[in-house]
Amino acid sequence: MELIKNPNLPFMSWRRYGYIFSGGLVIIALLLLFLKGPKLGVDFVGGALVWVRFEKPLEVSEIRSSLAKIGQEQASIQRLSGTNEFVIRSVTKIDPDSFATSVIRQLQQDFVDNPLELRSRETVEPKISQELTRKTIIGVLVALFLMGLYIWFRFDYRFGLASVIALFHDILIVIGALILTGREFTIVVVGALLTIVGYSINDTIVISDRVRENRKKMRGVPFIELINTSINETFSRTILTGTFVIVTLFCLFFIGGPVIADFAFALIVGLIFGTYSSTFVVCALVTDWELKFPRKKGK
Amino acid sequence: MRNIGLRMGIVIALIIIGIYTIYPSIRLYTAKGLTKEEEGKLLKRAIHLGLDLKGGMHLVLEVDTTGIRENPDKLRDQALEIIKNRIDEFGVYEPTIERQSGARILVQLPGVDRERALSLISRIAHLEFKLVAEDRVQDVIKSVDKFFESKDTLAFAEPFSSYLLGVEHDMGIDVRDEDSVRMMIAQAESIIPEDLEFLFGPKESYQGREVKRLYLLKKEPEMTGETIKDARHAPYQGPELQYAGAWIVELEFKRDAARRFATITGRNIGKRLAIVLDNIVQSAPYIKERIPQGRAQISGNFRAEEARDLAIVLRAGALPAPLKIAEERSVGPSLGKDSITRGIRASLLGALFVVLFMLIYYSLSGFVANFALLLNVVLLVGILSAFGGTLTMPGIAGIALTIAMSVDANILIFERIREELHIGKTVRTAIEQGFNRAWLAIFDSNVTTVITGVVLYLFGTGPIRGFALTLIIGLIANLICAVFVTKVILDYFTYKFEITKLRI
Repeated sequence: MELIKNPNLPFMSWRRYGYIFSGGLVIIALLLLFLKGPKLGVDFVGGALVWVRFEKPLEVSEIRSSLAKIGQEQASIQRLSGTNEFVIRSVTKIDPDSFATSVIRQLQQDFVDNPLELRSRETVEPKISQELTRKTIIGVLVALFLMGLYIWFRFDYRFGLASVIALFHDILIVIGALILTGREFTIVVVGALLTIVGYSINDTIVISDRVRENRKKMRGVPFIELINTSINETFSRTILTGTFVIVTLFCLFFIGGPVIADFAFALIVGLIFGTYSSTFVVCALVTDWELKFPRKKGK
Repeated sequence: MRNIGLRMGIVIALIIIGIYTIYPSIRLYTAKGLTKEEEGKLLKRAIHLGLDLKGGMHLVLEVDTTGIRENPDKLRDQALEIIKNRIDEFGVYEPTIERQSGARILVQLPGVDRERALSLISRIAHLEFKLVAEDRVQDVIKSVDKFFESKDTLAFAEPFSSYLLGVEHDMGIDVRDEDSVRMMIAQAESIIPEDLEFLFGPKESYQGREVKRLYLLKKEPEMTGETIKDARHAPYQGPELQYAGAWIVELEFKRDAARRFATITGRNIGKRLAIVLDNIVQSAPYIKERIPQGRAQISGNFRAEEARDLAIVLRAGALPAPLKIAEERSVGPSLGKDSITRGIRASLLGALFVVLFMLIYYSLSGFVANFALLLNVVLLVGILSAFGGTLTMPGIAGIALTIAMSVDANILIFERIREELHIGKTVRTAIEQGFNRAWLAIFDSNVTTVITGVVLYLFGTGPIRGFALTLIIGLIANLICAVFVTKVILDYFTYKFEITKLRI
């Protein structure tokens, strides 16, 4: 079976729309990042997370008024849809442990005939969260440095520079999507971001390899056509692999439960845009670069 | 065809290695009615479940050195030793207890009851024997009352003595008044004689109200917990009705401590000796006679497990300083179970889609790719098991992702083979060229992911490390299976059956 038979789509003629689309999304993401800011989880700011399951249905407002009795009505209370489970978070700087303890005790006291079960409890002292933040930043920097080194070593410098721009594009859009949907930034989500970086480069490599190969075969062909042919030749692979990965991630997102949902969400957005950016950011930029500043023949 | 026999042999060897290494994990987590001994044996060669899947607690404890002048690292090491002993005796399966910088201790306990484990670990367990100053109680109370009368404070409208109630033959207070009473005692510090102190008992209910007993004790302890040789829990068998059905902790003193205990009891017959644990008076029995055998007991309405835990901490000794929870990540057992079920269900569904699609899209060659995929997963879990790796929830996601990404290699190869066939190459050359041309792209794309994996492993914590580990091992297995195994099988069949038309 063959779904996509010898595609011949003029991708590079569409690159202007690509720039507008990408530019727009990146600007929105930047606005969200600087105006709204990311919602940092307890890993990075310190605080407490209490996740409880009640036996019988209950409203968020009932929990809030119960917490008001201990002066914690400002805590974030989230109901996991379709369940009697609630996640209560607070980025309290002072003694997260007693916050968690007093929240649980208050809920047990106020809902005696609706017993609760502790699903999970996380408390992180601000001092520890600072260390975790530092460690995460170092980790991300090391990963980016190694990736950069690899790109420098592996691509020619035009593809290399373009793929670094594409990486920032992908990551910014994922961050924007996370902020827009009110998801928390945790260590696990940062892990997802790094995975996206790996996948995005991987996708670019497949196309750029094809370009390198075709450049030898198709001497004298206009550059724009060379790029288009290369994208088209790898197109069925791009779609197939992309579909497999995305379907698997959707399974994790919908069935995997709340523990893994944010992780899967970040990966889904990242993989869609990582695939998209290989063509509409990397190839588009390289094409325009070539059209403005053509390389000498034979190079 | 070069070395086809040898290469086929390697494939078969891989299959055997995969089955051999994955078997203990499958048996451990699916077989029912295993004995503890079998379980322990299997666990050594099986994959371990992370705290997020098994339930349990991850704690980073910090030694609270405020007011202690000793070297924090030394205090940490002492505390760590004691915690280790306590957990050993308590009997937790596979605990992790590690020292960390900054006077911190990492404790990971799978599958424990949070409250109970916490009280076992963080209880200081400082045991003291102090004499009750019954003959001086009335005088002290009177002088405290007089102190507040003369001070003319608005904070306490009632005199100190009006808060006091009788609890059996002791005095006590209502717990609702506890804060006021504590504050009064603190303010009247200068009035209370220097060699005496007020201490409370544990909370109990008495005639329908919550009360705590209040004792006036000699500050200087007669003896402390360091003199204990052994501690055991036992049912209470004495005459007092209030303890009927409860459990006690029996103490046995070391040799010279036993002698001292005999002297103390002999000298104070008719007085009361309070047993104080972490500044709470557990009980204060009357000394009826000299006790020469070096034995004592702590009674305090304990349930069996409370008494057992108390005996453990007393045997292990007191912590040198209080511990503070700097970081905690606890997962209840129900959440862990849910995560496993959901993770496996999601992965299976994703895998099912991939396998079916590969079969439809590439027909027989898709079947070969699926076989390589299956071997890939078996080897991934097998290698993880053999190295004692830990499976976490992000790790399960990592396996699912590996399944999806490992077919990428086969797609790259098969698409390439199709292209070669389109331009009229023979089956054998098409396969040869397809693999050769796709190889570089496959290798490259795996390198970037391995970089991510290694960094995540080095800088990540807990669950994310599990993800990194599955990613790295998955990719190595992928290079072997998707490229080598698929090639060998395709070669073998085209060679053996002299196929001239490849179903791809």
